[in-house]
Amino acid sequence: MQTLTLTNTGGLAVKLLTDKDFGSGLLFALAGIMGLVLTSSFEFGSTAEPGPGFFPVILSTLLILIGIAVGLGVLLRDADPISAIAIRPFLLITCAVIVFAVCIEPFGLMPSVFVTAIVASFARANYGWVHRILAATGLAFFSALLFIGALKLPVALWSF
Amino acid sequence: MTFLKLSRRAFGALTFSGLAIGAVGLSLAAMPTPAAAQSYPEKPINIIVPTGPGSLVDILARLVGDGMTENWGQQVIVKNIGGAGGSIGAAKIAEAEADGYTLGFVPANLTTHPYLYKIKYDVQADFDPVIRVAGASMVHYVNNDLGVSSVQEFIDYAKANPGKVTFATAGLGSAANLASELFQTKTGVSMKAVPYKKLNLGVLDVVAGRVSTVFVSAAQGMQFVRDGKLTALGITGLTPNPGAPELKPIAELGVPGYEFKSWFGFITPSGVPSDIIAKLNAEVVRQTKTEAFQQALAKAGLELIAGTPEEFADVIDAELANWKGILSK
Amino acid sequence: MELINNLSLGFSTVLTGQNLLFSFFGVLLGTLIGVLPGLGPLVAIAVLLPFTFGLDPVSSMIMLAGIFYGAQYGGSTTAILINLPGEASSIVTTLDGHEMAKRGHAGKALATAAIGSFFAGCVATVLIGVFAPPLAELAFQFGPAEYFSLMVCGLIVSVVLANGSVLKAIGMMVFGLLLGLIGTDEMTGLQRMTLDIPELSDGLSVAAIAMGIFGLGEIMRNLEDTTKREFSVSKITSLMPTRHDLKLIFAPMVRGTFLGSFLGVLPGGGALLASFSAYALEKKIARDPSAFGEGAIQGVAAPESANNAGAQTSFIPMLTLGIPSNPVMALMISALIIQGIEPGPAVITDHPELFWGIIASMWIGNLMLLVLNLPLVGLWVKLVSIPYKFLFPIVIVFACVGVFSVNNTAFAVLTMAAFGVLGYVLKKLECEAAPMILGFILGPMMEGHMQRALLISGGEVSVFVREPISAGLLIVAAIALVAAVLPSVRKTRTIALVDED
Repeated sequence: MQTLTLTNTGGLAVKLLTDKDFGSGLLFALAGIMGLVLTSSFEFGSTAEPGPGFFPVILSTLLILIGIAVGLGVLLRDADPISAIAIRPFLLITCAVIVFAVCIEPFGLMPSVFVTAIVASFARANYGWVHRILAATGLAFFSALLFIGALKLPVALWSF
Repeated sequence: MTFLKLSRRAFGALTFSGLAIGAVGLSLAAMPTPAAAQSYPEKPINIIVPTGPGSLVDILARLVGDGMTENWGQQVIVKNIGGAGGSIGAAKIAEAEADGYTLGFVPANLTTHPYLYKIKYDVQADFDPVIRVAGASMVHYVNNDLGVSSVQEFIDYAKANPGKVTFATAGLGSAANLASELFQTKTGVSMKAVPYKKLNLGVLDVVAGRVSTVFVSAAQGMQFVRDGKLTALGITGLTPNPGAPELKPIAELGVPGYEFKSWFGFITPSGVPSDIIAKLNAEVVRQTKTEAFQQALAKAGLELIAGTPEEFADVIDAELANWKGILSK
Repeated sequence: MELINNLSLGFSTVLTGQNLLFSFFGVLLGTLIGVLPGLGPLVAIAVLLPFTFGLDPVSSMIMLAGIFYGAQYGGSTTAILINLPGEASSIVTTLDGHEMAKRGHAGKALATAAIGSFFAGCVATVLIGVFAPPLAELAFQFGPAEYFSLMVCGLIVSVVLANGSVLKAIGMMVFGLLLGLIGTDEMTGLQRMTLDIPELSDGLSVAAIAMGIFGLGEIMRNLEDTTKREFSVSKITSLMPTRHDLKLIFAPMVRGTFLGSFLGVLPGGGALLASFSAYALEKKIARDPSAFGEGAIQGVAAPESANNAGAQTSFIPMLTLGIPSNPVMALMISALIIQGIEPGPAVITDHPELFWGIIASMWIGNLMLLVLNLPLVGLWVKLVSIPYKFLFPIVIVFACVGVFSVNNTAFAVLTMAAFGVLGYVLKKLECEAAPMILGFILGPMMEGHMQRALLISGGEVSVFVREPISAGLLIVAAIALVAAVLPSVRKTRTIALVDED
């Protein structure tokens, strides 16, 4: 009996932490708290003269309440755990985009596209180096042709 | 059609390499030229516009920028840095290197920044004026149902109905707001501000009678006046407005000393060599003569100013002094 | 009579060499983008937006509109042939369209989609021509209270449409509204929730958020599946439907068109809502509902007509009220603003050539799509066979360049990265992003209208129910919300939306 209870307690924590709705509720509540922290110092005003804090404070409060309601709903039903998270594409694609953001202004279009494509290609397994270089180079030239050649976007081709 | 029969992998690779070969020629042509010519400009120029894309300032800046790109063979890139009445963009201009490769294209409310926002720059000391490009007076419109047909009647109405008169503005520090503030100061009437992000909705609300009055360009309201849906009382400038030639200056209609004119001008961070300023001034003057620019001015009901750096400096000094009295109360 | 005058103004605007070229370019590019999974009209329009600075307003809008409904069209082609919706509004088309293809009727399914879209395109063009001017007149009556209530109505529609729990959808909507308030407060000029980051003073970029969530989030999820993506491309057989088929699809086509046209006008509605609802409606009134999902030709005709009609009529709130019903329309508004045209009730009277030009271009664009696509189906299929390993870096790079050049700041690209992360998290939590995006787009507008309504009324909250139009809109919103939580509606809603993932 005791073991069973223990598993159940552990089960509840695990159930909560991996549950879709609990996660959503947590996300909403945190966003609402964040909103409240950032905007509660602004003047709330009145309905006759709503201040800059009026709408955001109402929204944040509402969001926290919705978050609590969604999160607590978990206790009333069976667990609905989130599916497995694929860390590799998640991290590498985010990195690829950040690399682009960091490179585009100092280095210009072609180098940024090349590096971004290289980093992004790691998001997928079984991507040989030949294909990787070929794809990144091709994409760099293609971007130059399309964005600067045809569309004349105001981006430097390359600069160092 | 043969390539369509190739394997998918080969097809993908082929697409890339084919495009790559095609792109080489282009990229060689577009490579930056070596720094042989010592004359300005020898690298891309940034124009900082302190509003979001699509505003009148932005459109004018792009027009001038495109013309400069064509004439100088150097890319002129317009950067929109909006927010806080333009004070965020202005701060970026002030911080930039004074080498002539960062310009700002700013509207008239630059001279109100010291009194409305917390700013770290000094409008006189931290900028070098290049050229005041164009400007316009605004029109004072009122809703038909107020039953007023002159500025004086409007003032009487506002004094008789305290707290009932509202005016549409595009937010703190906007031209519509400044013109209205100045009107209140000069006449002693008190009106309640109703802010709009896009003043065109504000004009519609004045037409519909939800808001009493608005100070806005001739281009944004005269159409309604001609359709009989709105009443125009006067103009904010002292000289006739080409978009509403029949209207008289408010200063001549019972509010002596009332004058408000918006303008747009190029500035640089202070310390740019005067010969570069002169070159920029001459180039902008050239660009204002293009047909596209003239059309844009006409469409917006703007008058060309295209003055000298000295003229621009004088205007900035005079307006700073003027707003100090009105806004820093 | 006036309609004919107006339409002829429109056609004379479009039938110039330059505008025909831009229309053609738009639909071609749109189809291409619609065919390629992961590349939606959003990416295409974001990439091309800076390019439109140099065009005149009519040409740029004609091209962007072409991309928009071209993508719609291309999306259905891949939905039918390889069971991969190129675009969200083609999701329902996979249900019966691909089933038909598997049974050897791929050609017939494609033709049905094409005919349905074209028919809907023609009818919607006329409907917009007839109803947009009176709606714009009505829009002149719209004050802050009416705008506020209309937006509430649109948001509730997006909540009702969302998959899964209604409460979660409302949470997402509120979250979006709150995100929309980041930036400078219109009224006071104060910086709200900007964490002292100057780039945030103008708020987050719509393009960055939408591309992060829909573009990057989608790629992350696609790459989860480490097994190779193999598409079985169905053979295309004879294209022409028989007389019997035409008889079968006529009524669903008409119903889909009218339902789609109506739903497109609602902010928050648009093509996606239209296709889902049309499919659900057909299934409900069919004599044999079990045929749906097994290759029922009506299940292709109705949603395809509806999504095209909805895509076109969603231009009405955008042009006449300045209210975007989705991120694509939000970008269209930016495109117009860049041209110095403020979308609003005055557009029809101030820029008739633009307004009627866009409408005429829709009809011409649809004709081009019909002519262009049936013979080119083979080529599109080849394009789809570009391996995903090459495709996803292209999408990432395009999204980066697009977001960067719309805003001209690297900060927007970082924003996109952050929202890519959020998008993936939301997918894992099964929170649908659509209400959030709409909330984000409408948030600042809604706050402004609410503040103005209250200021003008002197603080009486009752102003929203006292004005008849405003009250009517709120009642519609309330009915929709109540309906969504009622058990019986919940059930059909689940059935209609269940295949979304």
